[in-house]
Amino acid sequence: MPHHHVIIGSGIAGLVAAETLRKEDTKATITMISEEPHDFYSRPGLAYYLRGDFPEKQLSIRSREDINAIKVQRINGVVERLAWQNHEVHLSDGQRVRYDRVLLATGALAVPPSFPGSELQGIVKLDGLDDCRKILQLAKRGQPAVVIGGGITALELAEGLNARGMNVHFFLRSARYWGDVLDETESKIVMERLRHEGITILTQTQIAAAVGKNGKVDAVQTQAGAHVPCSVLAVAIGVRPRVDLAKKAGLTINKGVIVNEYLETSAPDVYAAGDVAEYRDPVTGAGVLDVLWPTAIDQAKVAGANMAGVRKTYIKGIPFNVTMLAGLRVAIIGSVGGGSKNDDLVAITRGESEAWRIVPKAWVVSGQEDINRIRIVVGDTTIVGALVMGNQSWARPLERLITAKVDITPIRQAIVSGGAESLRKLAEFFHRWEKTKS
Amino acid sequence: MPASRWHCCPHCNVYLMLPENAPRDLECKGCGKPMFAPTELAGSFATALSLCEFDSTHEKLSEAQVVPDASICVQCGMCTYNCPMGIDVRAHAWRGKAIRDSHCLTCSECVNRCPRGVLRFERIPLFVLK
Repeated sequence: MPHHHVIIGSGIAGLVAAETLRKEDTKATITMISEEPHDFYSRPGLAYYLRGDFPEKQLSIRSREDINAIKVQRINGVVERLAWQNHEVHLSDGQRVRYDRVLLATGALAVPPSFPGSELQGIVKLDGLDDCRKILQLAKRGQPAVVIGGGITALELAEGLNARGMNVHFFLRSARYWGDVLDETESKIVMERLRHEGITILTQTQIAAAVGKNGKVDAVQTQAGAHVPCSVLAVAIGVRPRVDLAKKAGLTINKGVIVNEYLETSAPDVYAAGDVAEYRDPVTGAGVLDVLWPTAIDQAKVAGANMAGVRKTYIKGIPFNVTMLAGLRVAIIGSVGGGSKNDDLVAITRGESEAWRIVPKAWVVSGQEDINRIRIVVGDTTIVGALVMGNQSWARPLERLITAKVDITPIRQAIVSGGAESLRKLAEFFHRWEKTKS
Repeated sequence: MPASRWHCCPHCNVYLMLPENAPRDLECKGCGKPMFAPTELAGSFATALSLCEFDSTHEKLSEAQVVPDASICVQCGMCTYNCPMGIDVRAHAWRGKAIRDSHCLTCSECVNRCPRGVLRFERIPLFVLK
């Protein structure tokens, strides 16, 4: 009797798990249940679609043949209950699907706004393709828009609406952008570039209420009493893992669904991967939320293999992500902590790791040359984090030094003294280290 | 697959492997000037060689292949969308495979446009004009 695997969610974790399952178990039946009816698409790509860099069909990440090859039965529906005692999932339309193993790949959703007037039309978020389509319908050239939030998604929304010709007012509750990850100079560089693109940034500005006309948002009232007109109000104050299903089923959860190194949850034959999962380090016991695409892929590969009966261990890497901030490539590796609290976010931002925000007790070295900027966070004997802005040639070497926890004692003094000389020393050191490895 | 052959840029002398149906307004991967525009040098390989200097940028580009770093790719598709030769760069990036497509011009469109810095040039002894 072939196994029946059920995957809940059709994001990248769901897709990669399905592909892994099919590779490991050619006979199994794989069913994917998702609320989104769309073909598999790139969630991070939405930012560029929103900006008008390419047409919608470009978002699709698998061809028809690829999809046919994994032989996944897709059900468009909402899972209401996970009855793991009976190995069943119950859908809202009454359908019951039996499984041998199930994967929760339900992702994370934007935290809904709570200010007065948040039910008005024209208030948008950016979770998926449907949101993006809705925003594009609402975005009218020359009309005013307001964006609230302090992370990557807020910036993507601001730049997207701006590129679509709207007059964007970007509200920051704090004095600078993404203060818990970027340092002051980095925030300034990003903000300066956003202003240059034509976005109006209002720092230390908080929304008091959304004001509507005929049920549609018309303006934003700030706490300082200002009245900012807008026909679109985009909110990105963080995302939360979608744990409802797991919570109702009595699984162990914290911020996300707690998983072990096999991506198993606390219930038998129930796995979780991607944004919904919170991996608890078996040694330290600490749970860290990574809302990162590469993390979702890594976890889904391990979860898929384990579901197929191939024992595989998930090894959490150093959180590493490259993102585009105001047209600048920015790589964030390990713990970089920007030094200030970010009041703009009530939850983790999409495309971020909680580990980045940890402010390490360490020296910070920055080398700067135009907009090519490198910030290296040095611990007692190792490099613990780095932020590479602009030219990315240093991102990979730094990631490798950080991941391998290489003892940099011989050049530590040279590094912390800063400047171009420290980078030259580090380059020499890296090349020597690479040679000893091979 | 249309047949391809080497074309010499009349402005800067770099060689590009181009298919027969390459757009007539195609720009040279190195100097950015039109590949097929008539100039006083066009058609004369010998003259071009003597009059144009072969600069380092071109040498580097003509000897490079595009290599992805799969672990940071988010499959947005910007690369594939901007490839003038219609190569599915994104699919290569997913598998972590270098672009070894004979149609690749190493024009650097994908490398420059990738929002995440996934793609880079890696030197290979592909074609050296010395």
